[in-house]
Amino acid sequence: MTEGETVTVKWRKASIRSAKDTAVRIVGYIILFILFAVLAAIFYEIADGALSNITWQILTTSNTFEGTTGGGIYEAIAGTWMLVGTGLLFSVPPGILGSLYVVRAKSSKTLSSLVRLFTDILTSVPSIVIGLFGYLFMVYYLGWGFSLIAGGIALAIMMLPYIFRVAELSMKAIPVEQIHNAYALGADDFQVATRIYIPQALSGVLSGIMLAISIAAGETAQLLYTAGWNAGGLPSGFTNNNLGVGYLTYIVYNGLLQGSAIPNATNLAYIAAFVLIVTILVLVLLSKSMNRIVKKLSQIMRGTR
Amino acid sequence: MNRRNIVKAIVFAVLIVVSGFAGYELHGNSGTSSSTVALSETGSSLLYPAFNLWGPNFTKVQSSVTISPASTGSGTGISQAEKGLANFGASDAYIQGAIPAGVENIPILISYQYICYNIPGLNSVTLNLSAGIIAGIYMGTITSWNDTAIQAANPGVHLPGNAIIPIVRSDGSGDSFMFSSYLTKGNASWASAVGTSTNPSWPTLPQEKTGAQNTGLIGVMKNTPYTITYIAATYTSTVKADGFGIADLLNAAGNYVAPTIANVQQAANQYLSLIPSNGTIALQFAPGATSYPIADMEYIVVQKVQPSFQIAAAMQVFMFWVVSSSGGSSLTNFLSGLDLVPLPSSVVTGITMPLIELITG
Amino acid sequence: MEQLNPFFNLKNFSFKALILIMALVPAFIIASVVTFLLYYSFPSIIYNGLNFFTSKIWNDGSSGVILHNNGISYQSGAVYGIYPLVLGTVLISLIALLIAFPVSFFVTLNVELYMPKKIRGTLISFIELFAGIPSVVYGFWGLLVLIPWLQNTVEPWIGTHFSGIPLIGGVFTSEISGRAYYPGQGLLAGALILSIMIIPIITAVMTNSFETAPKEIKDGIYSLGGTRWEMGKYLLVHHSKAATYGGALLGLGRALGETMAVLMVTSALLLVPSNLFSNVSTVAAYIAAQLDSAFFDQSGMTTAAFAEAALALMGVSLLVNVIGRKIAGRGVLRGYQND
Repeated sequence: MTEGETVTVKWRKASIRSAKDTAVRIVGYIILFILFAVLAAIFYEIADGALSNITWQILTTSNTFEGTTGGGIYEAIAGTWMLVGTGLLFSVPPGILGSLYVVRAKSSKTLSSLVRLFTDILTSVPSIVIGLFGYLFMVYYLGWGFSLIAGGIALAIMMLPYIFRVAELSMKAIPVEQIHNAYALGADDFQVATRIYIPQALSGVLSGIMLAISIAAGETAQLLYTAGWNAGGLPSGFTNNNLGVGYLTYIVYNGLLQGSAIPNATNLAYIAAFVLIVTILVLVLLSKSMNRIVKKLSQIMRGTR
Repeated sequence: MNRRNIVKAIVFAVLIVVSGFAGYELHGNSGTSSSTVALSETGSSLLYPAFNLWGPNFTKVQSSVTISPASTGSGTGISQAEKGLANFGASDAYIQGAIPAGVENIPILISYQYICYNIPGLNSVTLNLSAGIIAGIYMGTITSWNDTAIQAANPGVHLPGNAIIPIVRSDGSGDSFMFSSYLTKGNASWASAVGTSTNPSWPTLPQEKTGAQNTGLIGVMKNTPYTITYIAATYTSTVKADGFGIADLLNAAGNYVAPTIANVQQAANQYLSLIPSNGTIALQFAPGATSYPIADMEYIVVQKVQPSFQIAAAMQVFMFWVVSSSGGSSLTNFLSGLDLVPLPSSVVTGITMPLIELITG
Repeated sequence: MEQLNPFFNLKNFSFKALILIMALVPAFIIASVVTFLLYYSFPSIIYNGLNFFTSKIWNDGSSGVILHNNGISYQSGAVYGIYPLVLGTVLISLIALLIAFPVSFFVTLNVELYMPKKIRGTLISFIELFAGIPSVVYGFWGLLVLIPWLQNTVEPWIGTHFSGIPLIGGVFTSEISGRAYYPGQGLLAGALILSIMIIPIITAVMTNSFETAPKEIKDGIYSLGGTRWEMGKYLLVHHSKAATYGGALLGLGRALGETMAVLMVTSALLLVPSNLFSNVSTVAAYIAAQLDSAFFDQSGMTTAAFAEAALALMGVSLLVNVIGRKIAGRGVLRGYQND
């Protein structure tokens, strides 16, 4: 028992207590079963709808929703990655460098806790608020138009706290002695960061990045009014002449709405949802196993030396 | 080992960032090389299927111009085009109020609406409805299908006593605008209580249902008997396939008329002399014995001064093609499949062409 | 120690400046969003006043008839009230929590107490899969599968079996003109979809309590002859009470701001719900549904009103999340546990 805690023990009849125990156990099994069924139902619906129509052709063809055939979803797949990549450009530097500030022993404690607070606040900004802000400020007020940069920054706003938090936690897990020793040997902050913090926290940082990518890839509300939509080509630059960027979630949302007006639209929505889910699952799994993978990698590299 | 880890971190980061861009060079990027002009269109979801058909077909005719359409909603189309953030802003309604300086709305097509119903057993019967009846249903003063007003308009039809479930669009929409504009013109109490809007302040009825876009309306209607709603004519094939009833509507001349292309064109023809040079007019309740009462022109909103002459010229060529009966307004090639109605040729030459000619670089 | 190097270390100084600046980025973003939304919604705040939160009517006014008054412009007859949306947001989120909280509670107990250690990790990852499914996919599935099922099977069943209960029967009664009417889309659909989405968050906080609980507690209760259920209940309800409630708040926070899934399974109408199946909308979903129509209003007032609604939503969601995180501890990210 931890200090200061007391437990009052008033045991009732043993048979009733063990019956309760069993009842709770059974309720738990039932609920787990239902949850499993729901998950299976979602995956089945998407996979069933997608697999009967998915072809390599659709994944690699342009012009989604194009008039006579319905086209393919190439731009949306590549566009999703470009948006996420742009999001990383704007969220990885503040995420990692900001967490270096917070974990540094000599940083102001007050400021560090404020930084943590604001990072937490950032996770709680609803996606539609980021979308509205993105449209009114970046797209309209600054005149960037529907663009890679507006969509990317809208995603970065929500990716940043995940990258920051996971990086911070991984850096905190590094033994303090190691850092003290480094400083005692005359290392400066830059050296401690580049030789201890970043290398040691690498696997954690990468798994945070993977997690952030998996979340960003599935976002819709931020992108509808910042990235717009474009199935006719990939962006040639950050602002891209207001041509917008394609992304998978748009097809999932709009394909269903277009219905029969556009041939194949509903099928494309299923396929986009399927590609999206598979991508995200792979990323989540990668994120989860990143620790092991990075360790293996470094072992392999050491072995080949 | 530390250095190696850093290198690895950088390699990883770069890989992640670059992976998305990697396919770009491989796949090529048609449409943005220096010799071609890529034009952006954004706005109306009703016109989105049309632009999706027009784009590739126009590029076949004029290989140096590509069109990249996006369905974002008419309001966004107008605001983006006004700000110069899109070349074309497609809208189901003309700009409300004074048209800002340097901007024009150009009529390109006519679209119209059905009033559809799903009454088990009566879907094959064409009901007669009027703006007064429909306004009553949506305002909650007419609540059941055998209401005396509906019975009076449909003598001899055995109407069920079930409650009427009106369906509206859940998203801000040009279709809601056209529908509320029809009721505003046709019914005084609707005009004073609700008026015309893309997001009408629907009188709150507990039984009301909503659907996102036309497909959503049709989906809800399919699942719910005794419903009524307004569907854009572009969804004719779906409505017919699902076997819903389509009402004949009371027009200005006092006749119940069916939504046919001829009756819609008749409405536009009746208004010909009244269309102002800026193209801004609602076509509801046109005079004429056979004019269908719910129709409106579809618009493209543009900035008169475009970033370059090359872009302005490309836009003009495209728009001339769109309204040409041998180009985008060809019934056989495009419009009958989309259930949109071409503008009468006198409107094309008298209103649309002069507006297109004002676009400059 | 830092001053061992007698020369000014420019590289290190710039590095320290850089990490300080980067650490301030989150605050800068929040400040920009709040400032800009405040600036943009200012006309609406002046025009609507407190009426914004108490009025049941949202009317953009007469299209194109723009009036000017004291420096602000609006369409004639415009009234903006988000009361039904606020009510809808609160109701839909609370019902979602009411479903998700006990589910998470029993799932946690079952996984932590009764499952063999070997498959525990797998089961927790399985719950986390729910957090990985995008909002729009939930909405897609909800529209295609959940709503027809609710409309044809679940709601009629609830209606026939529960509407007779005295006092609360009305909650389960949906009628028009005396006939039972089950819409499918609405409050129940939205709450169910949301509950699936917040289960991983609450479960993550609760399983976290188990993993961080001192071993002495578990051993102590078992050695006193306690059953596993008694140990688990003690841990979640007494020892980690704060985390348990904090987790619930985090779930609520996520539910309040959820947009796409709710948008796709509810009605986006401004109605005050009268029963469990009623039409309902939330602030987030309504913004997403109607933002486009705001751009028709050349006076800009409708857009300003949406900015104000977004600002209010952000404020509430932020408050709930920060309090939740303060009590729950910071170990959980959107349903994923930090390893």
